[in-house]
Amino acid sequence: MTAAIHVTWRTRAVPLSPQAVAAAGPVAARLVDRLLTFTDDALTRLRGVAGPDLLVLTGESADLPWLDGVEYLGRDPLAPGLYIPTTLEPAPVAALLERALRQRAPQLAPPLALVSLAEKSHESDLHRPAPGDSHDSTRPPSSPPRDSHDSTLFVRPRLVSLADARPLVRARLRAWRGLA
Amino acid sequence: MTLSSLTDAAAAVRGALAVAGRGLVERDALLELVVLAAVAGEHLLVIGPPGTAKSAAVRRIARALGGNYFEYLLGRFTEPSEIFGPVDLRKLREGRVETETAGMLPEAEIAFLDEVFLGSTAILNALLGLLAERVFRRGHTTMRCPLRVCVGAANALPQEESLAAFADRFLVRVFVEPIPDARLEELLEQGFGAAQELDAPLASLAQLDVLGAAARNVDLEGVRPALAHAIRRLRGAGIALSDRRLVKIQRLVAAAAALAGRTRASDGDLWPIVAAVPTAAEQAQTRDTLRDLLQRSESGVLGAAAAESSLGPLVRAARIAGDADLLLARDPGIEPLAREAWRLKLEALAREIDASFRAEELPADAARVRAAIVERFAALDAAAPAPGPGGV
Repeated sequence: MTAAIHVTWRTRAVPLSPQAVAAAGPVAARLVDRLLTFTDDALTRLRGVAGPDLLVLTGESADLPWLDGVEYLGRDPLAPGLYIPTTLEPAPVAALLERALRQRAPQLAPPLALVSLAEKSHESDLHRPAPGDSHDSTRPPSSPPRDSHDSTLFVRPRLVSLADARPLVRARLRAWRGLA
Repeated sequence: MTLSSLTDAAAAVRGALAVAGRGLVERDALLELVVLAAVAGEHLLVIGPPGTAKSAAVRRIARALGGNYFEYLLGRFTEPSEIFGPVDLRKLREGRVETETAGMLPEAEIAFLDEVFLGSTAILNALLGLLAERVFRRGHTTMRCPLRVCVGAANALPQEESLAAFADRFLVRVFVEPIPDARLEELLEQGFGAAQELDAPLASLAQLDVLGAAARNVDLEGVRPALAHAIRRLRGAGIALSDRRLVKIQRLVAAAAALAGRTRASDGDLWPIVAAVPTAAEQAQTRDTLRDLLQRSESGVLGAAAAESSLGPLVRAARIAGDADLLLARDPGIEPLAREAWRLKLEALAREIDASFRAEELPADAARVRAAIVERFAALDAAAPAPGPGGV
């Protein structure tokens, strides 16, 4: 058995620049609806991976969509292969956390995203248990990061591989939404 | 020096700052810190991407204050003569290497050196002496320089050790960012009119000198314990300032007091500590670490600089809220492209809020406009649903 990774989180003095956005459950569905109103040009500036109930998009800050309930992720300069919430700073430092996560989940190709889907969401729906996730790229980490000071910082953490992130295409978004 | 002459000088500088700020968006703090550095007898380094009005801001404050102004864009191949002046050929025939400094940096009272770290070793070495001692030495030329303040600019802080030592000569650091989307119209509107305002000086260097002399005589005795305590807290947070910076911070504190019309510094004059911290990340950390102390900041003249230095996230939240209020008050109209542009601007502000603050720590201003944005979008979507999945 692999030992747990004990991680504590605190608020960052300087938030990371957002380079990815994550959404789960109904928020992910609404995010796709919003994306479908974007032009093809705007869509191709974003790359993404999707599980049955989770969506993670990467792109330039100014291109990332906003919706109530999404979570923004950024990369600590010391851990460029790990996307973490822009407002949180892990201990041990991000570089060590990245290394530990890659050791625990060698099946997930980097870069990785650690999505918290935290209580900060303004969507009450997000607090429901997530549906089972069978997609290869969205698996729970072997050991969830915990915060000894504030248990609401990380709720239902998930580790996602962004290695297969591809430019967004309208047809795939529609298929993900179950539209013809 | 009388208190009234100090007050008059502060008022004149306030007027010059107000005029210099016209036509510039979000550069008030930069202008004010240039004045603070000038009064303190220090120099300022402004870091930011190209095209962020760094040179325009310095040019305008120089014009408003009067005095000889020198500006140059340095490159790797810039010759020392382009900065300091050519060698005097007549004197050279007599066997003396002297520099004709007329109209060049050694005779400038306010200077702006863009891409300052690209200067050659010869230029940087000569600059070191000029910045530190206000003395220009080259060949047989040795002259005292009337320089009040030199503003250096660069796109980023240098990484090389040798350049870092040179950069340390610039006590005051300002980090500028491009104007946010929500203020673009204001930028375009003000920028268009700005070129027409080539004012005569509103203050004089003599008034700046009055403030400088007052700053040198400011009583710092009462504020030193608080300053020392603040520095210990910064060290505890891992922010180490060089001894030179620690000593010189006192000049900035004294200048802040003088500019506020006071002859004794108080805790409210400690806000320039932030500007003396060398990196953007450490400045933000300083604001956070010293938040309780800096919230007592007060400055009758340097409002924007004091506010930016002291409040950090709160100022950011207030700025976002101000931008959002402007957009929310605007009727997006019925034209689809204009409506979408308006919506994207509001979404950009909401994104900045969500990427900058944890929900539990959201400042009241930001929480208010965030809720207003959510409500406005919900109402819009209910009234006229966004194009469905089959749209566009």
